[in-house]
Amino acid sequence: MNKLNAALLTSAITGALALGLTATSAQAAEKVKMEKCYGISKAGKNDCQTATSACAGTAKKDAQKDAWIFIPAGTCEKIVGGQLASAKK
Amino acid sequence: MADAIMPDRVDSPIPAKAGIGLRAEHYREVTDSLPTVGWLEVHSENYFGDGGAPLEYLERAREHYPISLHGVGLSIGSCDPLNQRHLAKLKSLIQIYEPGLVSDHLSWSSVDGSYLNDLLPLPYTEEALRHFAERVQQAQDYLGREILIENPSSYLQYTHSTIPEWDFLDEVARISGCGILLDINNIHVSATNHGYDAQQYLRAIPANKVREMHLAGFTVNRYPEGEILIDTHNAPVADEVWALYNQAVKRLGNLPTLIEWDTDLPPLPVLLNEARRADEIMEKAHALVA
Amino acid sequence: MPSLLELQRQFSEGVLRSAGSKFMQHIRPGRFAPARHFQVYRNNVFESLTNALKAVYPVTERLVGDGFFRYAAASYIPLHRPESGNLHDFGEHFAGFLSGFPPARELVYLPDVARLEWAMHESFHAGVGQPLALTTLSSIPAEEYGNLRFRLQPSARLLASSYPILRIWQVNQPDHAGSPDVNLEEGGVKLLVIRRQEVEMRTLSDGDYSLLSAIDAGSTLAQAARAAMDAQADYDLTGALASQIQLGTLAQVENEKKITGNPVL
Repeated sequence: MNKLNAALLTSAITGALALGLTATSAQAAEKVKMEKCYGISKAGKNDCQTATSACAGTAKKDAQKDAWIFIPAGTCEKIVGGQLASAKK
Repeated sequence: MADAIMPDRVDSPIPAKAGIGLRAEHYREVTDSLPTVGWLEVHSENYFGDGGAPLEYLERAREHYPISLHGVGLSIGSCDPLNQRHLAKLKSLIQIYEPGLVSDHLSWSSVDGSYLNDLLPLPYTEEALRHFAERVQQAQDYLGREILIENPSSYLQYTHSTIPEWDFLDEVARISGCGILLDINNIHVSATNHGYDAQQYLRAIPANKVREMHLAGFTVNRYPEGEILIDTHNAPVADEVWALYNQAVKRLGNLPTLIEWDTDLPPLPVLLNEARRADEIMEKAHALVA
Repeated sequence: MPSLLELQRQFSEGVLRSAGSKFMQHIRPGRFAPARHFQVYRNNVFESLTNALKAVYPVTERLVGDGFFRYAAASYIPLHRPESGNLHDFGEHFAGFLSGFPPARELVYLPDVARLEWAMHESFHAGVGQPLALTTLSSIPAEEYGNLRFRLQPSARLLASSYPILRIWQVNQPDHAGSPDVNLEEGGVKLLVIRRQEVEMRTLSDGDYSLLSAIDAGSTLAQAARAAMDAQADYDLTGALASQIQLGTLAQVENEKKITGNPVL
């Protein structure tokens, strides 16, 4: 670690401590925006029931092999600029 | 964690009353309104995480209700060695939450290290019986307590099965010293699917081994050849199952009885009403005996 | 008569590979033909594993629709079989699978969206580390600052994507009222996923992302600060440290080998 860096770290931590101790760090924290929460109803997938789908118990196999399934058909249609993005990847 | 002082809690033993499953959709309502119900049951694996809301709600619930830990993933009937990580998690939950009852199923769900995460049927043979009973003993030794084994709903029977399920369950309990969790709906579902007599099943179960009963709703799938009942836990308990439960209570006495509802969960009062109905059946049977 | 192990292997293959014919001979013909009895299990396994994936990846599902999602799940399940009796462990490799799934090739952003959803899932179930206290930090002599190694909260996950995955995630929430349109030319995003009261996502500057990634990888504060300033010339290290301490992102601090913070609970 060179001297410049050491001085910088000292002032950064001293500064962070000062911000924290004077309780103004909340201002700094607000610069990092909280975007979205994620609720508790996601929890709890382990169950002991047999699945309820219409296909449960039917002998008709592999409905998922129907041809239309191969094409994504959701809100991805609302996302544009895909060709540019392909090039970027 | 081990040194933490246990918060104030009600005692562990599960009363001989109706309980309901505590599911994520009802966490807030149950822990805020503290409805009148004898006890709560949760699926153990849903609390295998290291932290977060599920564990916090379970702790809050535990303060006010006795809790039963019902497992779906120990895969006791598998030929793989018992999953040590799974057992360790379960043991840790037991130490923290002091459940009144701990249970899993008469089934298997994994082979060669990969899981199908379903309650799969065992062949009822001498080989499977020895294997299953030994594994129950291993689990009980590790956990340092009795576990209950539940009869599953089943949709097939093996050509080489030689032992009726009720005898198999009885023998598992006799050899391993485990208790029985008798799922009345599963008896009805399996008896209908395989064409055997639910009454006979009920009569054969050793009364002194049954520690808990389950009640749930099923779905009927119709085909040209007939109907298959599917154990979907998405509906009220059926009339036939209430009738069978009534007989079970008369024969086995009042026991902790769970209303199991897992998908298309109804508002909490609907669950509580189902629980009340089970309590009324027990109260009535008890009054007759007295 | 098959051994119990042989029976279980055949059952499992019959479910996952449809190679059921060998297994059918072990099923007693009852009220239905053996295949119909067995199909209940086959459907149930795929249905419950698919539902487990849907629960972790709701935005991914919404983007591609139910049918395509089921098709992807049915392809994923036999390739990445669950290895645990806890369904919450299932689905870890789904993002990687999607990036090599030809039918999803056009949706270049999809694997990153799935990566974000898995990060949220892991964050949701993670343990809690004692947040770094200012008093802990102030007790350390200034000459040792450069060698400090912080740790992130167990629930902290860092993600960088070339695509606007946060916007994509937001407009695909059930309660989102505005337009569902997203233009990929909006560009990429760097994110911190962390659980405090609930799981949160926060956008990070290039400097913050480099700082936290370096800390997460075990670098000293001096190394992490250098990485941050390389990534962002005008980087405000003081403000960043104050913010991340305030947010509780930093869980504890190690000075050389000595742990001076509070141990993780």
